[in-house]
Amino acid sequence: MDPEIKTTLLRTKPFKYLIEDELDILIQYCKMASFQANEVLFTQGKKGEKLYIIINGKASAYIRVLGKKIIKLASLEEGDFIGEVNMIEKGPCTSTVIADQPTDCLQLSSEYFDMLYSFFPEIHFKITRAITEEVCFRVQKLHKQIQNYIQQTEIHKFSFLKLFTRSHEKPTIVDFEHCHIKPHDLMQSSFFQTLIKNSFEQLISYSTLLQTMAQCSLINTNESSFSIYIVLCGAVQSSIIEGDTIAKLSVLGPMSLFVSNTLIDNNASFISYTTCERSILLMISSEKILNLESNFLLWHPFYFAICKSFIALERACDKLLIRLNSEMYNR
Amino acid sequence: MCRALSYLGLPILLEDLLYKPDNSFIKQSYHPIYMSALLNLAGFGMVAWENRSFDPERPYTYRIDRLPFYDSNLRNLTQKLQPDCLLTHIRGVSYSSNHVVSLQNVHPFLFANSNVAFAHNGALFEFETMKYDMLDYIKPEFQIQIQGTTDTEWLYALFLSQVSQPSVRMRNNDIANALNNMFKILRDIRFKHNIRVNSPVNFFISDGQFIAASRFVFDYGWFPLHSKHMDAAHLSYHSLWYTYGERYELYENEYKMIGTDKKSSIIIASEPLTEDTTTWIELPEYTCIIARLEQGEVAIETHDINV
Repeated sequence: MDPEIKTTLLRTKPFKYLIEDELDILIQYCKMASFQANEVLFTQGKKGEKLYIIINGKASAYIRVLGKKIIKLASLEEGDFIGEVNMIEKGPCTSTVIADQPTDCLQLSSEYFDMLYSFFPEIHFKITRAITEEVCFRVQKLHKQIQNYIQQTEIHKFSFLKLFTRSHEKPTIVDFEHCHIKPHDLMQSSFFQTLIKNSFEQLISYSTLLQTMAQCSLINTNESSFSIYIVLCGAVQSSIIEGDTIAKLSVLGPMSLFVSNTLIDNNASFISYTTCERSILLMISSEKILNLESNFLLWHPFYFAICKSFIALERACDKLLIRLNSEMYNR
Repeated sequence: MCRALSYLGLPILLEDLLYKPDNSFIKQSYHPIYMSALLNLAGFGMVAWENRSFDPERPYTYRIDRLPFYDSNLRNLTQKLQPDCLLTHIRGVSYSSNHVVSLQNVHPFLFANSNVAFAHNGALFEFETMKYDMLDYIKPEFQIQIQGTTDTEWLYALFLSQVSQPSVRMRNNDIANALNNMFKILRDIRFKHNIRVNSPVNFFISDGQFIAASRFVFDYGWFPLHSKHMDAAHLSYHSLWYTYGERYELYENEYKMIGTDKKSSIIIASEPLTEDTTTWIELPEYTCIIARLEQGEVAIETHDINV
């Protein structure tokens, strides 16, 4: 590959952590895709399952927003990328992308990205990390838009009693026997199945088992510390809180993982997480996360789960914005 | 475990909702995309209002306790009817002879002295333990109309009993308050019997002037101790989606809501009618939605359910 193109690729966001040798390996799993003007790269609603990085040319992204006309979302040019969420989540494309002029792209399909997980996990991890940071940045922008909207509208405010309860409910530390949970059964669940037995036992040794009532605040807005949580029983609500007004995002049920954005971007948390049912959770404290990070066999699948959790959070923020613009929400 | 669909807006050919889209409502009886662990084979029912029909406040009703995809009469009807408002349901129950498949158990329910139709997607855990406590909150005129064995019919009677004047058109506040009261009563009865297991209660309600739905689970994330339900399909919150726009029709070989900024029509359903879900939106968990037409436009209200 042309050295100039390689230099361009190493500067793009998805590949920013790769070294040149790693890029050389990755390129073997990619292919070049060329589009004529007005040719479609992605169609909204259809499966995409690939990432494109524009090597040269220009494209535009359009979206049909719920109940409205098609609007232009973004212009894309050399070095820009699209489809990273489709590649990881394998869901339908959220926008239509059309080449404005003859455009060449590097294409990485989700099949090859999945293969990288097994055969070149370091490369997979570095790309995942870069994508997670990008998604986290987008979530922060959405958060600001939502915050502005909440400030300007008359969304129903929380009662003083509810605010008091949220601030005073605390989790208690328990053990598996107390909760009637068998670690062996846990290992069979969808979330932990990908870990080998030794890794699972190590994970348990880094974790604390917590039991909480409903309305227990686990991550508050503007906190700077971070822990990773996995819901085992019960559920947790993610929300955007502005003073005494709350706009709910999504509910995380059993086998869901969540963590503050602080882990990704070192900023204070901007999403809050509160139990909406009595719950049992596995918590890995910020101190223990360092242990986790030093064990790549454990940290890699965890980080991939963290990436997916932020992708889901971005989707929830997008949907909340649509709803705030078109409905009477809690008025 | 059941699929439901409601529609409000411009007159729509029923076939365009029930048969034509790639994930059509009738197809969901044997090939649901969400909750695919259980097929919906225990009956089909619909209640539809058409403004141009004789006595438009009285809906068409159609119910069968058989598989709808073999019903040629239903297919024929859907090729003719163009309702403005619709509530339809396909029933799914676990494969056991303990369940009664009969016309009396087909949703939506519509009592003789009410204009409100009601359907349910979900199941109250240990309903048999709860139901006689529910009688304390169900008015006698609704108690005597319960004919079947489903929890839904009892929930319907409970809902109607929360409305002060059931024969008068309900306003949005009436609907939201009735739902909230109902959830509180159910919560208290569950507490009394120490029932603390995951129980989804997605309700679909309509009187021809509004459509409303709730997306709620009691004790979400708590499954019976020795349950094998630890895989992803069973752990997810029961789905509820909606889409709105000017009209729902075929566009570029796919069914979707299209049009300009005017919201003339809305669909609320257990799952989208197409594999393309990007023009649908999920109702958040623990939320209810109420939609009605105001001067030709759909006005949507959503409320958090806090019980």
